[in-house]
Amino acid sequence: MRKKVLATLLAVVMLMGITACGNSAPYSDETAVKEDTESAQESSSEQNTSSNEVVTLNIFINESWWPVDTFTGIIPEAITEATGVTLNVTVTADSSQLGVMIASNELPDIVFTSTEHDRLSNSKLCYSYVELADMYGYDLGGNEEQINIAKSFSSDDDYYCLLNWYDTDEEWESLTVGAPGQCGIFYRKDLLDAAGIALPTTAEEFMDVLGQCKEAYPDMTPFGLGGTWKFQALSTWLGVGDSIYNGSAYYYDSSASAYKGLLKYCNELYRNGYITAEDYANENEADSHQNAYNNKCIFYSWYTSVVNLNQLNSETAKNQEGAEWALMDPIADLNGEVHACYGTSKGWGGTFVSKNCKDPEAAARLISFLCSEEGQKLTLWGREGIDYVEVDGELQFSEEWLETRKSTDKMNEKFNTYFYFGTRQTISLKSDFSGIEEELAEQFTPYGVGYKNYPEIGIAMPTSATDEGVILSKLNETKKVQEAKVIFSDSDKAFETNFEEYMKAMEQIGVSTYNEYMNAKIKEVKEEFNFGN
Amino acid sequence: MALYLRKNVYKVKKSNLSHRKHLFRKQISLQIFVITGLVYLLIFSYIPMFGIIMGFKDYDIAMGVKGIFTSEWVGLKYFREFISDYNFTRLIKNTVGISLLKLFFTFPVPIFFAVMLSEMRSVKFKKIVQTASYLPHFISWVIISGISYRFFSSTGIINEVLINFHIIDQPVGFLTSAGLFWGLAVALDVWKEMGWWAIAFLAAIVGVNSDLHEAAEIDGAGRLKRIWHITLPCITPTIVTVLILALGNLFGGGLSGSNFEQSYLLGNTLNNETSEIIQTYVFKVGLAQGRYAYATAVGLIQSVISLVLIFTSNFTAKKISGSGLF
Amino acid sequence: MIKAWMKKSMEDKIIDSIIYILCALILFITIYPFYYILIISFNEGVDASLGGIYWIPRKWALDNYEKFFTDIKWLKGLGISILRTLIGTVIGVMFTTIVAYGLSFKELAYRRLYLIIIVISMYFSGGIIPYYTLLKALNLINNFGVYVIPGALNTFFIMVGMSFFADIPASLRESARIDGASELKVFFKIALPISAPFIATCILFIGVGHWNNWYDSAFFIQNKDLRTLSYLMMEVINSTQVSATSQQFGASTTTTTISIQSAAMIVSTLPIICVYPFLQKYFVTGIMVGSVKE
Repeated sequence: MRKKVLATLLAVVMLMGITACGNSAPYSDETAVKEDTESAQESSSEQNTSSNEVVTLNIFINESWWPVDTFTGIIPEAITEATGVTLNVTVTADSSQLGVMIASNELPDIVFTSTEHDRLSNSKLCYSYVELADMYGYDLGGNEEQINIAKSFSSDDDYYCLLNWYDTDEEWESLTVGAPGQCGIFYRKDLLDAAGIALPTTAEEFMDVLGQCKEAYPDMTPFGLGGTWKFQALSTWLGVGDSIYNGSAYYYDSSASAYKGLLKYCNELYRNGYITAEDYANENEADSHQNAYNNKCIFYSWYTSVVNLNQLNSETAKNQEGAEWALMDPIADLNGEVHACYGTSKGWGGTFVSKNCKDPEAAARLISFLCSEEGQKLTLWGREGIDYVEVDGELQFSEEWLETRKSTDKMNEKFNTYFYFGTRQTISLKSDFSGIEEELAEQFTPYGVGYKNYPEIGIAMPTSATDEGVILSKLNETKKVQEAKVIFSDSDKAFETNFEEYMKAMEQIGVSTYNEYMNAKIKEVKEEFNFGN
Repeated sequence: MALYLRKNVYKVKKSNLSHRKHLFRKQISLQIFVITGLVYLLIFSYIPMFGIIMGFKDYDIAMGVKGIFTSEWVGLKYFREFISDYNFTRLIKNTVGISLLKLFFTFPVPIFFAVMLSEMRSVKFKKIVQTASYLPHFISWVIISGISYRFFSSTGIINEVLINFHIIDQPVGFLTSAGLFWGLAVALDVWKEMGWWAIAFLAAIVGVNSDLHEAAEIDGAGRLKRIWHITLPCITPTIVTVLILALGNLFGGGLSGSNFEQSYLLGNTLNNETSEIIQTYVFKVGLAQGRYAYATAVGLIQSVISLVLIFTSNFTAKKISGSGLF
Repeated sequence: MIKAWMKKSMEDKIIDSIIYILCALILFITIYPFYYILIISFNEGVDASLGGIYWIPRKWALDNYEKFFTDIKWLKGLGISILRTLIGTVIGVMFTTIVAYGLSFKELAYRRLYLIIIVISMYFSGGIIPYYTLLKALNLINNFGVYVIPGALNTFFIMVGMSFFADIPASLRESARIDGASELKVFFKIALPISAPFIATCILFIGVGHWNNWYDSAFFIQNKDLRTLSYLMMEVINSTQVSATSQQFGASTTTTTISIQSAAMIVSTLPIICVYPFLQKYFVTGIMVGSVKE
């Protein structure tokens, strides 16, 4: 009897002890550096803003794949030195986390996210950049276009973030080497050379070349489809992009005039045996890379970056001596026309300062630095004079940097370039394409020819909470499924039937309504923000 | 005569209530056991239930929690949206089809396996098999989908083996064929959960009174007869309980609730015709877009149907076997 | 008499052989995939993705495991996980069995009402937002208590437990009560020992649930010192799934998602496999079926 009473008492005491300890307001207990947390919790307006003390801010990064979860490394240290701010990083583990935080108003000091920009852009949840600039006098960067884009997220005439990874047309034109990342097609140069097959320059030739490949190498799949990229390159090259938007009228993919042609082309690829259904069904990049590394395919669609090309070469070489991959030039469509790639990017991720931030001035200081030219270069290029030097507009990196760059793990541990919240894609491209062979870099140049970005499309796209947004998400879902059915039809007749069904389904879901809405909205946006011509 | 009966019924009814109150006081310790549990449920399950009204309101998370109460009523808007959806019939067909199939196969197998194990003589072998059998339970569906490419693709090991043994000529597209998805999902579920659920049934079998078996043996009953007439009937209450609960979770995929993971991870554009279920679709066009209200509404539909299923199956079970859940 | 014995033996033999063959098959198809994952976890990731590995690792590597044990946070996570599993399981099993015991009495007043309340709670839920609000109001957010208190009642096992406890002969209980024992004592001294297999099952299911749960650690805890092992694993696994639209450097590492996940799975399963044998004795039937009793 006594033992039992003791046991229960013990349990109760344990419980009380557990709930008592560890109970603290969220985000307030990191034992970082010398600073005053207690006063920080009381009132943020009476902050001691002397930059001799380092402030720790909590940041939530809403990208589950973020490879770093600590603010450590040479670059973060340099950032702390310049701003007096260090970050306590939390990476999301589930996509619903941000939603719950928004609903319960438990946002941490800073949030970096590529989604929910509209939901976060309101004064109840976050500080506006204008407010921060007024209160503390920092310039929070951003060019006019970026600011206009950010303004479109909120219902008041204010902006609460700036999306990074956005370049203006001028910036794209000033890029001397490299091209915007997009879907491209790599090919096994050694195999084509050995069989005497020439590279195709038109879509028709491409079909022939695939046939020749199949004859010469019957055990290999001529065209391997990479993970999520699949036919995106062909889509652009066959003019679908142009028929979606030519600067004035906009159509959802499935309503675009060149769309059926694309599907027919893909269907032919399937019926001729140049692609496999399994490849198409597979969405896992690692598995599709297997085909490339393992000598199983000759052409392979993937994202055009130098790192990817290097990886293809190094991994395939392990299994096949003399294997060499190269990047294919864009080809002309069935009418002989060449279509340039286009983007609808309005930027990618935005940094929000929540109203719960215990030191908004420090946050403003940090953001201001990251968005400045100096900060942008530091976060992606390292320290000027030590890791890189700019000579005549060309970048030259140190030996150490180039060596470490070969391994992502080492790169993240030593330098840590993953705090690029204020940068643009052109900055990253400049460093990607420096320190590599000219031959290699030149393969990418054709992908940048005539590249045009239409941010008005990105802005006009409805948010998920609206009726049009609902239609859009359903259209996207149905498109994926129906496309597959049409592409993998076994006969011409089946193709036509499936395609008709596909179009009917889209109508029923409301594609016409969506097209109408988009056209009107795009006009509105262009007028309001003076985009492009 | 009728009047007399009626009067008695009235008396019985009245005394029932006071009888219950009297009983309550007598059983006070037991009642406390149960009531602490109920209070707990009231706090952690019933209080949050207020969120269900989200399904009838024009709610967006940017409104905060208060918004659940202050946002406008939109009545059955989301229900209408769901039912009139282009994919509605297909979703229902797949969800119910897969669930019923799973129930049919994944329910009896653990029982059968548990009985088999309990009848095994070699204790050592039994322990080994039992331990091995529950290992797949710990392999998450994410890993299974990841390595399924290695096992089930047209160049994978299963096709290789089948072709080598001349069972088939051409490789079978397990992963891409819409016709095979249901079979694949059910087979994987059985493989994964059989050993784990057998544990629960094994526990029930162990509780069977050995005297009964001895007596039956003396009477000359063979093993099969003993299994059929003693073991199974004795664990029937457990079987019925688990069956009713599995039926209640029909939409989730029965016992293991694996419908969502399987369809989400093993489903792809080529087998979508048969792999897309209510939960994955609502996830893609609902939760993933932050549309909590829509997701809540569809979830409500499923909850109501589950409840109906549980009450119906309980009723049926009581009628058939005499024992039910409540 | 002899004929009967011979017939029994034949039936026994057939049944035994069928059982052995089936079980051997089951043994293979359940062990082999697990074994496969084990060897994948010890093989270099990118090499493993090329396929062709079936029996032994081709390119032995410990990289996959290295990613896990580099930091002190793993020890902390392990500690939290163990603590949470132990406390959570004890609380959970005790609470669940006591309620199940109370409900197992068919003569319990208002029993039907109680059961309906429980069943409804199993299928209706307000979603995560109200739940989070409730936890916040109860001060459980960012608090170790959130691991062990909200999940303390397992309604599924209440239902199953009811039928287990109902099997206990009423006479046993009656005689104890007559001897002056309180209901609590009857529960602890009589009901629990008899229901050892059920308790063992409870411990296993609830314990494993606690061990593998990363969800509450992600949503309800922001303090990094309170993260569980399973959450830390999730983090590592997620970080290898570099987004397709990730604008940064591609992956030039030797590990792949699958290889990391395999290592994570082995790490989290090992403790369970070590603990289970101790519980297994409760699942071995005491019945010696057959003609010979040894």
